[in-house]
Formats: sequence, structure tokens, C-alpha cells
Amino acid sequence: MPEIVKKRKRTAPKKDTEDTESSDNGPDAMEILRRHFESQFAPLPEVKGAKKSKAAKKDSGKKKKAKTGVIEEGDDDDSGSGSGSEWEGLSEEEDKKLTAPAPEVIHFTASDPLLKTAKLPKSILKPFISTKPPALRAPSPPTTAPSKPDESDEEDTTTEAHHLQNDLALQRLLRESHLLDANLEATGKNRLKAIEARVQALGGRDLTKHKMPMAARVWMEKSRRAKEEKRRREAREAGIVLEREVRVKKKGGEGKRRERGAFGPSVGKFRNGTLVLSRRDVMDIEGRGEGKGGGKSGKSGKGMGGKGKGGKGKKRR
Amino acid sequence: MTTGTPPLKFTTHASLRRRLLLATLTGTPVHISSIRPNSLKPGLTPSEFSLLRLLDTITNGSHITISVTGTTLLFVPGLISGTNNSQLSHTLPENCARGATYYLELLALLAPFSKTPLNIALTGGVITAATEDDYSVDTFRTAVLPLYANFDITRNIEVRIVSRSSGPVGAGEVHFVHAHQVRLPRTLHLQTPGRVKRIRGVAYVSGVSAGNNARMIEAARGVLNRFLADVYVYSDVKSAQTVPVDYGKEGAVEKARGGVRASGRTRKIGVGFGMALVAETGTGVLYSADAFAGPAEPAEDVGRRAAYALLEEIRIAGAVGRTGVMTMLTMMMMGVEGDVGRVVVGREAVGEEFVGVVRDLKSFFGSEIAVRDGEGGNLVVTIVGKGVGNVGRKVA
Repeated sequence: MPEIVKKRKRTAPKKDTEDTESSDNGPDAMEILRRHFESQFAPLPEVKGAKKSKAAKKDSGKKKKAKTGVIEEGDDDDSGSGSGSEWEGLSEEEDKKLTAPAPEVIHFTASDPLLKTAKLPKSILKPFISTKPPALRAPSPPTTAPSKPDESDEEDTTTEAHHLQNDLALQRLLRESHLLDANLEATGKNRLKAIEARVQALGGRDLTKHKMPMAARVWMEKSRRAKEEKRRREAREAGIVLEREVRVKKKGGEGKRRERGAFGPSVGKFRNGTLVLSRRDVMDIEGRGEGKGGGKSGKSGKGMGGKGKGGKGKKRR
Repeated sequence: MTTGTPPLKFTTHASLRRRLLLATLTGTPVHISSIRPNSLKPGLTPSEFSLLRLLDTITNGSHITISVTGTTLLFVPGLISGTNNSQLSHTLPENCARGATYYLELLALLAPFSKTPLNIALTGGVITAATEDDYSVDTFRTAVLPLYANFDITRNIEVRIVSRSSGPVGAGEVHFVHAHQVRLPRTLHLQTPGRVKRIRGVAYVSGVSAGNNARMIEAARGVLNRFLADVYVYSDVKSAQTVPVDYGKEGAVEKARGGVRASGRTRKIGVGFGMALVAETGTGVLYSADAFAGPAEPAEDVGRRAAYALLEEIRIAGAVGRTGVMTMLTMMMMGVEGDVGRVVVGREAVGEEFVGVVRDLKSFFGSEIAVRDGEGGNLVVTIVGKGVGNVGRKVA
């Protein structure tokens, strides 16, 4: 006997909730169970059972509300006004519940099928789930109508282009102002000069030079250097102090030192947390470098001050 | 070696991390005393020890002196040297109670001013999910790191969650790469909060059913879709970690040194689920919220909690969410000397945390901030940059 009871208990709640399929084919399980129970014990008070089955037939959702005291409101009916337009007062059961001083809990649940099924477009998903932090103001999904912003964008770009053009013209005017005549135009030789200057600014060759065969030019340079060297050597041997040598800067590098990053130290190399000073750097600082520029040594002198303080991790302005 | 400037004195463990951070950024020594003197476990916690160790590894020439009881700490910061293009693995203690973002937030603030790129793998007791005190790594990636774009720090920043793990004891792994070093951050003017245009998020699950993600997302969207259609929450499913049975117990590692731990018996760890939501306005302001499942909490509740927390953040408004306040104020203070930066914060964002940040900034940088009323009941915070910038790169 208890076996049967167990079995029916298991099936009973299923009928209760899924009332659509088999609530009206004969006396249901609960009914049989009740009759069996009554035959063994006392008759049960006639409250929940019958009512329940009827209520279940009507609306399973409504019953849930009554049980938990929770009002569920879906926004699947977004036909007219936005929120809660379909609410039709309180049913009797809810009324009873509400007489008790229990707070009303409202759960909003989205059941709009459109929103639910919306899949994440790849264009949005990709940048968001990558390992990189998503960029601010990421491009919005392509669902928005692109017509209106396009127009303003176009306008924007045209004005931007206009400004750029004006800028260029102004720059050119300033650069070539010394070649212009009264009418702000370069004519004749000046015009050619202006064109030449533009070409050079764009990286063209200076045509006024290079009028000599390469070999001859190289030879000339070499002999000039040799002559100068000889003069200096003889002066040094005779103990004559000459003017400081002016080294011609090489074409590629600006100055002797390559700019590393933007944060390199002004003297020496910073490597593995230590400031490495080469012999040359030290000589430079001490001011006994051979034929160094005066300005350079002055600058390193300032660097010495910082070193004296030993400012590792010290704020420098 | 370092200058003879007297250390700044602080007491208690409150905002220890922030003080260590500011000390490292400015190169000021700090002396912190009476750290949990009356606690049953006095002194620094394992997570704080690990933080000090981390600071030691990414700086060069730091000196850390801790008293025998661990209640007093002297920290003399060195240069922020970074990891020199090679990946450095930092192992958190197994019983680390703080989330990974406890360390990541600090790293993200230090990295722009380091000498070489920073590339760190956090391993060991890493909790990637949100915890009581820390937000999740997803929030860090999607809501905190984008803030640095305001300071022109955008390139080569990556956070990779190799394995997810949830509290209270985690065993995840996170890689953090930051290769955009600057001399000085740009001056910030962020005064228009704008209106929320889109909401994104990540629902994450580790070691439990992926169905939890769907349920969380549905509940969160149920709340948020009433206000905004553009809500997308990504779902991420990862498995739990298998660890020895005695994982996280004190002294377990020492006990098993060299041998097999807990005689080979294992258990799963880092099981849980949670959600991180980010709201973005038309002007690029981010508000974020986190929720993590408590014991036996249904997924719907977690999703709803995250959504409500996000709505609360949006209500507080301001041009920077509450998660990003410390980042923003610190970066502004580090900015070009004499340049005035402005940022709008919500009135309710000014709380204990905010005041703590400002006080610490004052004691480290020596300058105060100005706060005045702005539009719509918000406050305009004005900060004059101190031009500290990249200390390590300006030596000699």
C-alpha cells in the first residue's frame, strides 16, 4: 500500500502544474488519494483540493502568485503604455494575503521574445571579450539608422578639410614671405627659388650643389681635413694654442647622442637600475674632455649636482 | 642610498595598499605602525605580505622592514623598474583572501610610470571573481582599464584570465601586460557625464552549471531592459581547479615540501558564479557593478542584484564611477605640474573612500583638491597636477 501512495505523490505535483494535458480525464490522482486516505482515517476538510484543481485549470501563473505572495509582471504586452497597463486589480486570494502587513514584492522579468532572442553581434562581442580593455565610445551596433549622423559627418569633414587647406596656405605664405613681391606673389627668379625650397622641404636634392664629380668632391674634403689636421698637429708640437675645433655634424644624427625613448638620462646609460658612466662621460663631467663643446660640459655640471645628492628615486623637476 | 627624508607616519592597516602605492609613485618612505595590534592574528595578513613582495619585485632598490610581530612596517620605495619585457610570475598565498584586482589595480596605476614594460602572471591563490572587498577581474578589464584612455594610456595593455576561480579560496591565474609607459599623464577634463547608451557585462561561472549564466543574464536583463534595449551580457564558463585537500591550510606547503601534498588526495576549488556589469554613456563614462553568488543564492537573485547595483551607480552619476575614483584622482595628481584637471563626481560618491584618497593624496603630494558645486547636483573636483610623473625615467 505505501508503495502506491509514494508513486502517486510523485506524479501529483506534475498534474498540478502542467494542467493542460490531463486534468479532465477521469478522477485525478489527488482525488483517488484523498478517497483512500478518508477510508482509512477521518474525512478531510473540503478546502484546498477541489479549489486547487479548478484554479490550476484556469491559470497556473496566477496560482503561483497566490502561493508566494509575489506579483509577477511581464512586459511582454508592450502594445500601449510602457509599464503595468494590464493590471486588473487584486483577486480575492491576493486581497486576503494583502490584509496581512507583508511588503509587496514586485519582480520585473523581461519576457519580450524579441529582446530575449537577440544575439550578441560579433562586432560588439569581439572587442568586449578580448583580453584588451574595450575602447571607450566603441562603435554602436549597425542597427541604428546611419542617415542623419552621416550628413553632419560629411559637413564636418568638409570644414575640417577647408581648415587644413587654409592652414597649409598660411604656413607656405609665412615660409616664403621673403621671396614675395608687392602683390604677394613670387615672380621670376624668386618663383624658381620658392619652388626649389618646396622641393627641398619635401626631401628633394639641392640642385645648386653637386655640380662636381663625386671623386673630386671626396678628394677635396679629404685634403681639406688632412691640411687642417696637419696644422693642428704642428701647432700642438710647437705648443701653440689654437682655436677650438668645430666638428661638422654628420648628416643623419642630431648631435653625438641618440635620443633613447624620451626619458633617457642626460648623462650615461641607465641599465639594470644603475647609472653606468663611461670614461668619456666622466671626463665630460669633470671638464677635461678632449675637444668637447663648452655648452655640453656645462650641462653635465648640473647633472653632477643631482648625483651628489644621490637621488635614486628622488623627485626631479 | 635613498634620500634622508623622514618617512611619512601612518597607523593601522586601513588603506595600506593605497599608501604603499602612493609611496611608490612619489618615492616617499612610509612608516606604518600598529597594524592590527589587538587582533587574534596580529600584524599583516598573507595578502598584504604578498602585496609587499609584489612591490619589491617590480621595483628596484626598495627596502622593506617589518617588525617581528608584523605590526610595524617601514617601506622605502625604489624605482619602478617593471619586468623588462620578460614575464614575471608572482605567486599569491593559497589562503589569500583578497581578489586579484587588489593587486591588479595597484599594478595598473604603477605600470604607466615604470621604466620598462610590466608583464606579470598572477598565480597561486588568485580569485578572479568579485569578493566582499574587491571587484572582479572582468570589471577591472572592462571598467577600470578603459579609464586610462582618458590619460592617453591605451597601447599594449592586456588582461588575460587564464583560469577563473571564485572565493573564498581561489586557485586561478591572471596575466597582466602593460607596455605603455609615459613620462606624464595627460591633463584630464571630464565634465560631461552624458546619458547611458549601452550596458555590457560578463556573467561568469567556474565549476558550476553554465545554466546559471543564462539565468543571471535573464534576470539582469529583466531589470535593465525596461530602461535600455542595448544590453548585452557575455557568458563565460570555466571549470573549477583541482587542488590538494589541504590547499589553503596554514603551513600546508611547508609541511609537504618536496613530497606529495595530502597524500595525493584532491578536491575542487574556486566554485561559484557571478556577474559584472558595465554601463557606458555617450561621452565614454563608465559605471560598473558586481555581484557574486552567496551561499545557496539562486542565480536569478545574483543577476537582479547586479542590475540593481548598476542602477544605483548610474543614479549616483558623475563623470567617473565609484570604482574608478581612486584611479582618476591619483592619475590627475601625477599629471603635468601646474596644469589644472577637472572631473565631475556624483555627490554620493564622496564617501569614506573618497575622503581617504584625498587625505592620503595630501599627505603624499602635499596639495589639496578643490571641490565645488557643479551642474545637476554633482560636484566638480579640481586637481592641480604635481608633475611627479615617471620618477624612474628621470633619474640622473
